[in-house]
This record gives sequence, structure tokens and C-alpha cells, in this order.
Amino acid sequence: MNRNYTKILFSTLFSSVLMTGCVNEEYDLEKIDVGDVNILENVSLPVGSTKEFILSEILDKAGYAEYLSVAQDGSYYFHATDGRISKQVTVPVFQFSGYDDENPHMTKAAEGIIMGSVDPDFITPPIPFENVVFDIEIDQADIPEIVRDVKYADVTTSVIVRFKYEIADLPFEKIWLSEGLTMVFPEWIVLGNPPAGCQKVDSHTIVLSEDYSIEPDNTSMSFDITALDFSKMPENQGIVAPGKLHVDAEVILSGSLFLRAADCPQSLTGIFTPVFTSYLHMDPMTINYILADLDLESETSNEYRFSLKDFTEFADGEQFKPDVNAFSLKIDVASTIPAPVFISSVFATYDEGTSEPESISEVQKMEIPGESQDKAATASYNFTQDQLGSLFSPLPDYLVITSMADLVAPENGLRLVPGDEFGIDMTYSLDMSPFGPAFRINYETELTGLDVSVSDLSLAKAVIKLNALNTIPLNINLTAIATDVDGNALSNIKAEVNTDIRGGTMESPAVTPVVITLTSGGHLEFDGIRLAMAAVPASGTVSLKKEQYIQFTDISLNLPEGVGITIE
Amino acid sequence: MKRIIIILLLVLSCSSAAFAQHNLRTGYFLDGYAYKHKLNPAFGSDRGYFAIPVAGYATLGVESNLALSTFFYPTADGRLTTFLSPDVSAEEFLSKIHNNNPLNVNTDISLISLGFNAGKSFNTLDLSLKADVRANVPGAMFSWAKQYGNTLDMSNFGLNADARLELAYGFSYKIGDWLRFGFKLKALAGLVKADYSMDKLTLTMNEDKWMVDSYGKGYFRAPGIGLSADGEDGAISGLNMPSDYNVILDDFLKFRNLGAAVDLGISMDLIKYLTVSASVTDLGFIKWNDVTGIGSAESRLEYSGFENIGEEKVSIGDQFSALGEEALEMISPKIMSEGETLTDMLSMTAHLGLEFRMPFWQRLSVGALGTYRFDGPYSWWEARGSVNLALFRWLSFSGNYAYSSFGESYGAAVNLHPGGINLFIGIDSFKPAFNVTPQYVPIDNLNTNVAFGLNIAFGKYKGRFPKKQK
Repeated sequence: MNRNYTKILFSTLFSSVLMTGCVNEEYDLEKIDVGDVNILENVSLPVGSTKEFILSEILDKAGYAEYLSVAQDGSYYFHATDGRISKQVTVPVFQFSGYDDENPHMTKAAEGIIMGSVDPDFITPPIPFENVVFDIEIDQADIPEIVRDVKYADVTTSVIVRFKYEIADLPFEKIWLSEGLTMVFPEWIVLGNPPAGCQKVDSHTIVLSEDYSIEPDNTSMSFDITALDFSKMPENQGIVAPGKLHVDAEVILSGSLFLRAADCPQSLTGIFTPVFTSYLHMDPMTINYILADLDLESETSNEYRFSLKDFTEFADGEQFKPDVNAFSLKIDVASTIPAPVFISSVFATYDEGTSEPESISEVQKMEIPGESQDKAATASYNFTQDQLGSLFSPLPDYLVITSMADLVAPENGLRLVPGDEFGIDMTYSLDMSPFGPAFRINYETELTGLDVSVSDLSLAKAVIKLNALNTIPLNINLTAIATDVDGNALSNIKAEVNTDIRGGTMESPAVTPVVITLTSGGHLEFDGIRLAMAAVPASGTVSLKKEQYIQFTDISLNLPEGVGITIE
Repeated sequence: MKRIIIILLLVLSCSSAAFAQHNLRTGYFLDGYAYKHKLNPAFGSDRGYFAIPVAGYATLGVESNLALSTFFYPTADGRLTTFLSPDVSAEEFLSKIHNNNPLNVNTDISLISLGFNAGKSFNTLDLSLKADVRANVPGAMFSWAKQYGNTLDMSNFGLNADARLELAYGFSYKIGDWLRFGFKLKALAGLVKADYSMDKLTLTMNEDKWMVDSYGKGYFRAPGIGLSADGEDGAISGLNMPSDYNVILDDFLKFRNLGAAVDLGISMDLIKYLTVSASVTDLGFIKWNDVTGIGSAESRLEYSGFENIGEEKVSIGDQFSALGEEALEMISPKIMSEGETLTDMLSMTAHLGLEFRMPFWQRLSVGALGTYRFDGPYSWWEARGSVNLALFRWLSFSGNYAYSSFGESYGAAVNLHPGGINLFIGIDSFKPAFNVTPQYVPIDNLNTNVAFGLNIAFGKYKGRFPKKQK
């Protein structure tokens, strides 16, 4: 029996040694220490796409939209109120003054008349007389000043030459001017058709074509003047100064006369020297039309004032920086003046409360072609920085444009009929690019509901990948801030954005892959990402359109290092 | 009584992890082992036997190519960490993972069994309960858990449970001194059939889109027990257990799920010291009636995030919860059909044995046994070499080494079989016991099959080693 117990004891000990030898202490389940393990490494979670953040909404939210205008193609611009000024030009109705010789020109025959008989048919031979010179001098000071120069005037008037004679108290009932008597007017006077018995040798010379009798009293000869050719006037004559007409010319009468015995009731013999006196009278000249040059400055001078106060108020913001050099200042002109005119403008800027201009620029000779009275000639002029310089730097409160027109008359003058009316309209507009190189705009949006909540787990790093689809030509600096479910910024989470977003266009959108890396001390928990965008022009001044947008697509949430679990 | 039978059947079928279907392969060459006929119907026994009900033959088998050491790793500083630890490289962990990682648990219990010699024949009558519970976990799941790729492929994930009653009559006959053949005819009555396989189940997680693709199919049949479904999509929500157990018994006793199978075997003493044997078992089928077809239609669920974020408040958490519910709803098995008929082929097992007895002492032999189980994705193979010792006519041992789909193993069995009793205990692999945690949890592959039996032996000894005539 003892032997059996020994066997049992031995077997038990052997079994115990055997079992002890099979136990692998390395796998002691009591010593399980999982420690920190990571799960879900490199798992990506699609988040989706945002809506399109349309520029009009962005600008509206920033409070900019109310200051801006939208062009037909959707472009934003700053537009100052248009202004239109109409000026009327009337060709004045006026006359050239006439002339009245107050001093009689007395002359006598060069030699005496020898009356040889009382034969009633006796006629003296022609007796030459001294030349009669009528000195015509007109100084008229009431010429309308608009008439700067006259080249030619079609007029209606007449010249009357009156004669008186005396022959030693002899009662001749008439004397005779011999055929061939000549009256030479100044070259610039254009005579009309001569009276009967006269011939017009040229435009200003009259010759008697037959003997002409002069009665004792008030015998006269009348000649029509149809035009004044100012171009033929000597220097210093014509319109010599604004409003002043000066003419100093001579009319020369030369020829001979004779007597007839039959014209005297008594028969006389002897030598007699006839003396006669002549007067010249010119009626005021009614102008039918003139070929002239007008001075339009006073008639067309106008002033327009742009108020830029809205714009300056808008530009006072830290973000908004218009391009003061990218403006479109436009003057549209419509003219019915039948000749080209030049427009000259002076641009002066003022600030509120000051009378001294901040800046002045002048532009001259914007030519408007002439059309006709019935059809307006139009022209449009854009002024840029090249012409006006830094007119808007700094941005003023007001811009005052003073313009005037100047006629460019043809060499022979512009045909003008007194009483004619012409119009000249000037329309002013000012647009300015609101988005200059220094333009900044900030905009924020938030991706919420990401719901990254790991509770007892450890999450040190999360990556948000997205594609930024940008049709706005603004480069965007993107910063990200993690937020909690109430939208509060989480300062313990560091968010880094790997790149700026490139600007694009509607025709060629720019797609920028963006990686936002969020890290924390190990307990990364957030609900949303606030994306703060600071946009600047992609290049120089940009044209922003209301339908341009930015959209974040293909958003995914990635956990590159997984979620850490600490198992005790 | 009915209730007791029903409970017994359900417990046995549902808790089949407690017992093993697969036979003790270590016993193939074990002298005096009364249940060799389960491995090869050509084998007889040296005495007749009568099994003590339930205790006469019971096996518990567990097979898996996964082990504790697959998931736990000792560290240099004496800790024990998991495969998820960054200290464990993916290469090291994944080298232990296979494409399919089955976990099979099975049981075979003889309720009634007896065998007796009659002339040159050996006859057996056996009523057994056999049950299998199997699961297959795709290796990609473990791979994803470690590496987190973009695609989690869980295709071929499956669960399967079978239970049946098997009434078998076996007959083996010795022809001459060198040949034995045998067969076993089996009448089968199916108890439980539950099978569900996700032929396709992938979760693709790209940055821009998550997709769940799924397609699953399976069957369910249990006596008196139905499936309850709720919702519009008919997702299965549970079992309809009858309030009256008679319903279950009545359904079972209708024997609506019947089948038949045959085992075939042969054994040849080719030369004096060499025996070659071969067998195929479970060559048959069960025809299941009133089967409920279950499955989930081939479908895809896509999630690509929100559109127009910024217009309204969104919650990804809520969205993913909804997505998860939707995906779960999508892959959840649904009742696809009712009253189907399903002919289910049994999983056949083939054995090929070679035993060489030492010419100098024939009680000592070496054996080689090849086994292949035809079971679809759960198939496995094994090669086992053994040393067998029939120390006495009433005491025999067998020790062996095997290499199989599940890794290597060491088996041993002892059989005490004097007149009047036949007691055996064996294990196909005691290797797990050689490497255990201090808590005695096997560290290596839990791949073993334990068999135990206590039988009453009777009749004259007709074994290989008769008493020498004095």
C-alpha cells in the first residue's frame, strides 16, 4: 500500500513539474498591457462639398454691395452719378454799321468851261475834275463777341452818292457826268448789280456806260452792296478785337463832266469853272450770313461736380482698397455745330470743406467732328491715369470738371446764319475699379457637424483634405480654426493650412488641393472648422463679377495617425 | 418526458461546442479501441461492447488556425501586448493570418451504441447526435484591423451550425487472413440547419466615397422554430420560439428532414507486418424540408458626404449613424423564401492508413494516417504519424505527431480494455497543453479533439494478439 502511495506521490510531483514546465510566463494574461494602440490609421471619411460661396453674397455680407454697381456682364464697379450738361449756341443777329459822310467833298473842273456861243446846241467838251476820295471809316464796337472772326459776310445794303453843283450862279438846270466816269470801291466790297447806265467793271468798280445828268438838288446814284469780303481787307481791319469792327477804306470817284447850252435858259459866253459837291452814304448792312469763326468758350463753358463721398466712405474700411489708378472717366459729347469743335477740360479734386483743389489736371483738344445742325456729331473720351496722373490719389471727396468747347472753323470760315441755333451736350461719367492691388476682403465660413469626438480615446492629429474650386480672381490665404459645437474657437487645437488658394476665373477655374492639419496635445475634439479667407487680387487690379464663386469640394476627414486607445 | 427530450436535443444541438463530431484520429491505430469503426467501417473490435449512454463515446473537437499567440505578444520588458500595439509589426502579425480563418467546434455523442462479433463479421448499431458549429473569419478583417487600408473585405464571413441524429448500422467482414471490408448504413434525421455566408461584404473607404457592397445567402431550419422578421424589409429580428414545446417535438417527430449516408472501408494486411486501410465516411445527404431561405440581396450603399454644406447645419456623426444603420439593415439577413427544400450534402471525410508492425515485436507498430475533410471553405487536411504500443492485450497506447491545415499537433491515447470494460481517453493534440498561459489557456493553435468513452465489453477476445496456446 505504501508503495502505491509512493507511486501516486511521484506521479503527482511529476505531473506538477510537467505542468509547471508547460506554463509560459511570457503569456501571463494578468500582465496584459495593451498600452497605447492606434486604430483607424489612414482612414478617410468623406465629408462632401460646400455650397458655392458666391461673390455677391460675400460682398453683401461684408457690406460692400450697396456701394457697388453691377455691369451687364456682372462686373462690379464703383459708379459716380452721371451728369449731363446741355449748352445752346445761337448765332447772333446783328448788323454792320453804315457810313454817312458828313463832310461834302467839293471839287471843281480841272479847267474852265469856255462857252463860245449861245448856240443852244452847244455842248462843252468833257471837262475832267479832280478825283473825289470818300474816306469810309467804320468803327463798330457792338459786334457780338462770340463772333471771333469774319471771313465773309453776305449782306444787304446800298451805297448812295449824292451830288450838288454850282457854276458861277448860272442857272444850269443840270450838268452831265461823262460816260466813263469811274467809281472804285474798296476791294472787299462786293457790289451788286449796277443801276441803269452803269457797268460793273469788277466786283468793286463801277463805270458810267453813258452820260449821266445831275439835277441841281439831290441828284444821287445808288449802288447795291451784296457782300463784304473780310479776307481782302488790309491788315488791322475787320474784326480787330472781340466785339470790334474796324474798317478804314476809300471810294474814289474819277471822270469828267460837261455842260449843255440847252440846259441853261440864258445864253452865255466866257469861261466858267463848274464846282460840284458829292456826298457818300452807306446804309447799315443787314447780314444774310457770314463765314466766320465763333468763340464758343463762354457759351459752352460748364462745370460738373462728382461726389465721391460714398466711395471714400467705402474705401475708409481697412479691407477695401480701390485702385485709384484704375478709373474710367468718360466724357460723351454730342454736337450739332456744323464744324469740328475742340473740348478742353480741367479736372480738379476737392475734399469736403476745402476750396483749394487737391489736384488739378487739364486736358485739351478733344476733337468733335462736325456734322450738321440736324445730325449731332458724337464722340466719347476716356481719360486714364496717363492723362490725368494721380488725380484720385488720395481719393478726394469731389471731382469738379470744367469743360468748354472751341470751334475749329474752316479756313474760309463757318457759314453761319444769324439766329441759327446749335447744341452741344456733354455727359460725364466716372467708374472706378473697386478692387485694386491693395484690395483685401475677409470672409469666414464654417464647416460644422464634423463631430470629431473621441471621448476616452486619444486623437492627436486629424487632416482635412479638400479641393478649393475658385473662379474668383483673388488669391486666398486660408486659415483654419477648430471650433466646438457652439462655434467657439478651440485654442488648444493648432490648425495649419498647407497652401494658399489660387485665383481663377469662370472660364478657367483654379483647383487648389488644400490640406488642413489639426493637432493637439493628444485629445483632439472638435465639431467644426472655421475657414477664414483673406483674399487679395491674383494680379494687379482684378475684375470681380457677381456670379464668381469659391467652393470647397471633395472634403474628407483623415486620421493619419489613427485613434489612440489606452487600455489599462 | 417530451420536454426533457426536447431540451436535451436543443442543448446538445445548440451547445455543440461542448462535444466533437470528428473522430479521434489518434485511435485509428490504437489497439482495442472500440470505435475504430467510426473512422473506418472495415475495422472491427477485439470484443463486443455496449456503450453506457452518452458516456460510451463522446468527443469534443476544436479546430482553428488562430491561436492566443496570434493576438497576444510578449514584449521585451515583460509585458503582454496585443497585435494592435505598434510594437508588433504588421508583417509579424499577418504572417499568422490566413485568407480563411475557420473556427470549428464539433461534437459526436453516441446515445446508444453496441457492437458485437458474429463469426467473421463485426456488427455495430449506433445512434449518435452530431453537431457542428463553424465560423469563418476572413483574414482581410484582421489585416484591416492592423493596417487600416482603404478596403475592408469581409467576404466569405460565415456562420454555420448543423445538428443531426444519426442511426447507423455497420458491418465489417473478414475475408481470409488479410482482408476486411466494411460499410455502414446511416439513416439521418436533421435537427438544426443554420447557415449564413456573406459571399460579398466589402467596405471601401475612399476619400471621396464610402461604399458597402454586400451579398449574403443562407438557410434556416429548426423543428418548430421559426424566424421572426420586422420592418418593411423583412430583416430577421429573432427566433419564434413556440410557447408549447410539443410543437417542437411534434415537428421533429414528423422526421421531415431525412437523409441517408454510407461509410465504406477496407483494410488489407498486405504482408505480415503491414496493414493498409482506407475509408470514406459520411457519403450522403440530408434533405431538409420547410427550409427558410435567408439572405441579403446584392446591393451597394454609397456615401459621398454632404452637398451644399453651409446652407444648413449638418452632422457627420448623425449621418454616419444613419449610414451604419442603413448598412446594417442592408447586410442583415432577411427572409427571402419560405418552405424551400434543400438537399444538403454531408461533409465527407477520407482516411488512408498505413500500419507497420515491428517484426521483432509486433505489439509495437508505427502508423501513418492521412485525412482529408471535404467541407467547402471549412475543408482541412492532416497527416499524422504514430507509434502504437499494445503493451498488454488489455492496455494499449498510441502517441503521434500530426501536421495539418491548423498547424502541428501531438496526440496520444490510452485504452484500457480488459474483459468487461472498455475505457479509453485520447486527444488528437495535447500540444496546446504544452504551452499554456499561467492561467492554463493554450497559447498555440487550439486545435484538438478529445474523446472519452466508457463501455461494457463482452465476448471473447478476437484481437490481433490472442493468447498463445500452451
